[in-house]
Formats: sequence, structure tokens, C-alpha cells
Amino acid sequence: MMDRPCIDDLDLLALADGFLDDDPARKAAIEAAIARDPEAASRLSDYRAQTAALRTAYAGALAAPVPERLRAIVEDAERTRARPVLRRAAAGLVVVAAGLGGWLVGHGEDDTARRALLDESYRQFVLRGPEMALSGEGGGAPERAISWIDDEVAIRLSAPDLSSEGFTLVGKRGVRRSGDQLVALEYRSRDGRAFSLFIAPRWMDSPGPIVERERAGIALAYWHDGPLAASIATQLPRAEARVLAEAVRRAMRDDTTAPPAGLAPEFRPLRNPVGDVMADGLATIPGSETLDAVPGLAPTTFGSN
Amino acid sequence: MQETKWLIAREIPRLRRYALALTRDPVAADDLVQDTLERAIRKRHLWSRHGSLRAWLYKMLYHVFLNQGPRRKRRANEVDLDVAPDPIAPATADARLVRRDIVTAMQELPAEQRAAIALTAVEGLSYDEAAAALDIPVGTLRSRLSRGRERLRETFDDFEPQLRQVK
Repeated sequence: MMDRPCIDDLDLLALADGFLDDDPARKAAIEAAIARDPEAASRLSDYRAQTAALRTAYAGALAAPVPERLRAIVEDAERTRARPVLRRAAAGLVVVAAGLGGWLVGHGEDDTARRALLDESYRQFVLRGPEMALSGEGGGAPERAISWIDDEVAIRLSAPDLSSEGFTLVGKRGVRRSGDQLVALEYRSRDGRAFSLFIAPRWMDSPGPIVERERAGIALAYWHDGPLAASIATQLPRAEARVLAEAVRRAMRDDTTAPPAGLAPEFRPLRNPVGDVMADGLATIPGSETLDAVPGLAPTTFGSN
Repeated sequence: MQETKWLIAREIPRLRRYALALTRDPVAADDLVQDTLERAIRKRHLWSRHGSLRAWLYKMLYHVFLNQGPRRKRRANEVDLDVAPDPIAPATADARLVRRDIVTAMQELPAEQRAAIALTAVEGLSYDEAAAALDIPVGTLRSRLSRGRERLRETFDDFEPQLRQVK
């Protein structure tokens, strides 16, 4: 018994538009059926003529030079469009800083961001540093991506792998304060050394040096690189903290999932933003409540640089 | 974000072609692309890298087209192909006639059928991709394609005798 496929208009259209090229069996069956059906053959011929005429008619648009006014929209976007979005992250830090005592006067956006992050790092470290992080290694694998959630943007990065320095990630959590956000990562070594790494979004084209501070026996170090600002807080000696900061910065730069230096972060749509919850469940880690929910720790600022 | 901008810039020629199929008028088409690019740049953080940027831009352009102001729509409708800049590279007289015939036939279609045909026959999107770009189920796309192509077949056929005479 002959297998005669039923041919409808869509089969003919698919054939005319080349959509059956990946299905040679179906294509051959339909072509064979068309060969026995003059009406179908006529329609196919017409559809093919349409497709050819359409492609010819509009082919010139592909070859034509792109008008400057269209090119400019994309090329000028960095100055006219992207920065307001990105600045919001840095501006968030400014707001936090101002809210912490209004001690910032005219040192520029980056000083402001640095001070705010260092100050917040100290506060977070005192409140719940590595000693209070989950014990063991259940805090998350280093290769596990962190999703950084804002109401509008998300930045993906991986927790830096510091196993070469003897440190294991033991905890991570999100901190939201006054609309600003930090990711706090807690590292600990087998011999009991520990530090906290804080990462915040920012926007500056050029990387910056590591800036060190010490306060009440806690060493802090700050740097920024591409779209991220980071700081560490630890009770290790300052010299060791410095070496550690350099190692962390190297590890973050080596992270192949991070955007190239000098490029803005990769933004992803947020399908289900839920309050303060980080996309990878950072907030589910016990003790991850934000500072807003922690009994007050009077903010103390660092002296000016 | 440099990378996204670069990717968007690469799609401009295809966007112009799609816009031309929708509007017929090269100036209106570029206005449409301009509005689309401005929107795309503003919204580029919403593009999911798991999806096709091209399809995302096609979708945005169609939405802009449907929502564009009456002034631009009126201008697009008023432009006469005979006085509008030629959107197509110079070709032979015969080829030019065929082009005008099919372009005219396309413009007589309802916009949703025109868009479905442009995305599949001209832009080469699969039916699934085209349906996604138009925000409609695949079944609806197939229906629009079928009706549009049939109508195109009728109107485009009408020019055939003329073509033969020219030849």
C-alpha cells in the first residue's frame, strides 16, 4: 500500500521557505506527493516565486550602509543610556554612606563608594563574620554562581576560588540596606584563619589599587575592578590581610564568568524578584538577615584618606 | 555591555529590512528602527542571553511598529513608492519591476500577515521563532501565513501577465 502523505498549504510553504531541508525524509515524501498533484505543484511554484521575489526585493536593505543616526544610537549608548542605570548602583552606596552619618564631603563618587563599602564591611564583620558563618563546607561550592539581585538587574559572578590560599567558602549571604546590596562571602582555612569578602556593584572604567584600613583590630582592604567593588575584613595581621586581598583580587579577575575588565556587568532579567531574597537562595542561609533587622550598631566611620 | 551593544549594532541591517517590509517606506522604516534601537538600548538589561538577540529585537520592532504614533503611521501610508528613495540596490529593469510588484502586493496585506511573511520568508525565522517574535501561538502564525501567502499569491499573480509583456 502506498504511503501518500497528506499535503497542506503549510507543507508547501515550509518546502518553499526551506524549512524542510533539515528533514530530508519528510521533504522527499512531500516532493514525491507534489509530483503526483499538479495543483499542489502549481501552488508550490507560486510560493517559491513569492519567496524568491521577496528576498530579492528586500535584499538591498542588508547591503545598504547603515545611516549614521542609527549607528550613533548604539555607539553613544554608553554615555547617554547605560550609565544612569549603572550609576544607580554606585549612587546606592552614596545613599548608604550619607545615611550613616553624613560625613562625606566632596571626595568624589569613588571615595564615597569606598568608604561606604569599608564601613559596611566592618559592621557586617563585627555582626556576623566568619566565626558566625556556617561551620563545615555547606555554605556553597566556590563554582556556584552568585546571582546578584536588584529590582531591575542581576549580576552574575562566581565566588572566588581561594583553595590555592587554603581557604574554603563556608558561608554567603545577601545584605540589603537602604536599597543597596552587598554580597557577603565568608572564608575559613583549616588552621582557623578567616576573613569576610564583601562585593558591591559599581561603575568605573579603570581598576583601582588596594586601599587598606585597620580599625579596632580588624584589617580591612578595598579595591575596585570593572563593575565590582570588593572589600575584605579579617582579624589576621594587616600584612597577611594585604596578601590575602591581592589573592582574592587575582581570583576574581581569573574568574572566567566575570565580564572582562572595563565592560559593564552582564544584566539578566529578573523573572521573580522576591524582596530581599537572592536568586541562588543566599538569604536562606541562617543568620542572613540584613543589618536593618539587627539591633543597632552605631556606625563608626573611617577617617578621611 | 560593550558586547551587547556590538551585538545589537550587527542586527541593524536586518532590522532595517524587516522594518522596510512592514512599512514599505525607507524613511519610515529607519524611523522605526531608530525607535527600536533606542528602546533596545534602554532595555538591553532585560535581554536574556539564553534567547536570541535577533528574535528579541524583531519582537521589539514589531511592538514599536504597532504602537507607533499616528504621525509616523500616516507618513508611512502617504509615501508613494515612486517618489520614495529606492531601498534596493540598483538592479535590472526586470528585477525592479518584480520587486515593486511583490512589494506592492505585500503592502496590501494586513500588517499581521505581512509581519508573519516577512519574518519567515525574508528573515528566515523558523515558525517557532517567528511566533515568539510576534507574541502569538504557532497555530496563529500558521494561519496568518497561510492566509497571507494565499492572498499574496492572488495579488502577485495579477502582475504576471504584465511581467511577461515587459519581457
